[in-house]
Amino acid sequence: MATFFIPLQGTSLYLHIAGAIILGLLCLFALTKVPNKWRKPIVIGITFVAGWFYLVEFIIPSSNSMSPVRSSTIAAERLIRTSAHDLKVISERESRSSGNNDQRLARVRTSLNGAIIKLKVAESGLNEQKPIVDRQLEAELRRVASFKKTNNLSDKMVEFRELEEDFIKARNISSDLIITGGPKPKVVSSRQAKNIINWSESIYKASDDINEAILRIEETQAALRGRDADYEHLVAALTVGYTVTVIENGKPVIKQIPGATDAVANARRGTLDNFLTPYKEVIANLLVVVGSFAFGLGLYNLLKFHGKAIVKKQPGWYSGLAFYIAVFAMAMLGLLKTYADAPGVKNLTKTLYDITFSGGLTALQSTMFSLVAFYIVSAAYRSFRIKSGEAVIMMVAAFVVMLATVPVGMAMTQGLPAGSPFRLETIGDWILTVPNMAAQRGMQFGISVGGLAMALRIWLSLERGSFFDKQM
Amino acid sequence: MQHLNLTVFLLEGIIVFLILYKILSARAGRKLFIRRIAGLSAIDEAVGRATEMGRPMLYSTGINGLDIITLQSLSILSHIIKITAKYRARIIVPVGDPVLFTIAEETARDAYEAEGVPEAFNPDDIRFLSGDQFAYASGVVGILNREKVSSAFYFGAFYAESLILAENGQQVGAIQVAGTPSITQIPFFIAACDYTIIGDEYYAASAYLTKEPTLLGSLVGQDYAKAIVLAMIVLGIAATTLLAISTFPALELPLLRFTEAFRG
Repeated sequence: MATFFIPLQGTSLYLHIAGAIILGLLCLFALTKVPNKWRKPIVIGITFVAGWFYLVEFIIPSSNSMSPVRSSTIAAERLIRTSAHDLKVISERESRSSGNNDQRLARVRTSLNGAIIKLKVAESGLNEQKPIVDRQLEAELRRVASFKKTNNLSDKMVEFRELEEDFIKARNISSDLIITGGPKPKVVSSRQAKNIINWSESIYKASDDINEAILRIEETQAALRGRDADYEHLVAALTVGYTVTVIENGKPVIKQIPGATDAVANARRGTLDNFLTPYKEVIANLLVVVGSFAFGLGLYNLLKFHGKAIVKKQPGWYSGLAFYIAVFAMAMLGLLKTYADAPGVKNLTKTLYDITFSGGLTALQSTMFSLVAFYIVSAAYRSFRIKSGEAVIMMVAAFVVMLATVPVGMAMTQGLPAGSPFRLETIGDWILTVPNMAAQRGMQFGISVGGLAMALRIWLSLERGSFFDKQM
Repeated sequence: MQHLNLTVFLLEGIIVFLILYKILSARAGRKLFIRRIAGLSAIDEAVGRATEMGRPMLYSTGINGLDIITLQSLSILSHIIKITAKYRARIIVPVGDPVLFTIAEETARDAYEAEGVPEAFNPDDIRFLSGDQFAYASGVVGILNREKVSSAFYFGAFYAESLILAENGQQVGAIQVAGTPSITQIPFFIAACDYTIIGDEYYAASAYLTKEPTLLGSLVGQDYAKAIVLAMIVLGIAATTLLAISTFPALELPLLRFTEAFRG
């Protein structure tokens, strides 16, 4: 297997494309000859095996080397949440001026100290991995250099320098080596290199997240040592984070500062990949290949259907003619835009492509979407009839929510104090976020459980009907 | 990347166990009850109407590719085609995904063969229109208006095009039955269609229509699973409320650990 792939250009490229199409058609022909009694068991068997792969990949933990990181981050997150809860209680008690908070504050300090210790254990676990990953990256870098030398790729043509620097730094790595000039083919690094790069990124990102969490905790500890600590802000710093406005290039920019628990959770998630995780991409690519074959079948169906209409001069045959013109014109323009080399042709095809796709297709899509606005009016006019109690409730709720979202409605209650529960926008917002959201979430639970049950039945070949009429 | 944690492991394990247990229980002969779902009961009426009027029906699978939602849609399609074959009516199935097109064609062919009328199957009635959302919608609208369909079925995943389809079906006078797990499109279907299948009734459709013991058992297992989820919601609300109002320090830590377990 080639360690690096350089796509072909010119005649050899087109010959390879033609060969791939012929091979694909031969595969399809072979599949159609498989007897029906074998086709479904094959599909069901593949489904079962694929399901097992995803289940096993989901369940098995990451390598033993990541086990201390995992357990330490879980313990740290627990301690941070305990501290955040205590600070929240302290904040509420102080606002009511009730209770003595010394014991609770002492617990907060102990928990935060414990969290920092755990996070430092996690950090040291990650630091043990960094030299291993860096050695793998350097080995990959040597392989890149050797490949460059063997294939006579000069530095002027190949943008290796950025890749070399990034391999050494193990940050912001580009997995594509780009050959400049020509129709922009890419040299794609091997799967092994991608896996090393992804793992390296995970380790360093997790390390950054842990440092971020330690910073939040140290900020909190510093604030607690002072007087008049803003407990609500400290709770936010430990949990969901907060926003700050900084000046960049003379302009104020709002930045989101992550909370400690979020950062720790991100760090933990980034180190959960196991040895099967890289192969998920392989299976996803298989689906793309199958989809590509199926697209050809779909296109063939359309060509056959509309071709028949034209040949037999069926009513509306001119629509079929328009279809043929549109399909081949769009396909040619797309191909020429990508592969045409001559400057005159390239500019002309780019212009025509922009006119047809951006000017034509996008405009047509927007037109269809805009019809929804008018259809909403006609559907609402038909359905909002007060025939029962439920219809009255729906009518009132719809009326309030519609008024709450338009300036006219907001102006009707603008005389009320800001934050008043009787302002239309407050009532409208409450309707959308409380009863409506509760109903949506309830439905979503049911839909998710239904989807899980169906997936389980398909995986275990228990499904009945349409494609699954035989028990395996 | 999401991976297993203890909460998910326990919850999914219990749900899977319940579903499998009820499936085995149903297969052993236990009779299970399923309540009437108006939209699914109306399918026979819709097919009958198409036969009487001599106009075709339309069945849209939505614009998603091959996934759980469209597989369920194909199950419903198979059932409808079997009824259609009995009455010798015509059904047009525009499809928005090329992979799904091949499976829909085979599903339709199998359904006609199962009813003993393979010659009634017209491959031209199973059409791949386009993978583009609004190109698919305009194609379906064209079919609705040109063919003057008498009944329209929308079962699958829909997005912004749902109202376009349903309103045009309304304008040609078709009786419309819709079912989708896409929560955001359900209000549009309710407003424009005669019958709408809401939420997990969509996944109950195959069990309702076929009355297969396996599917009925799975449905009952799902109900038990939903009951467990409901119990967890109630427990979680109680724990969070107690945590907020409790004045007993000894209770705080256990309650905090309990609520953290739900976080996963």
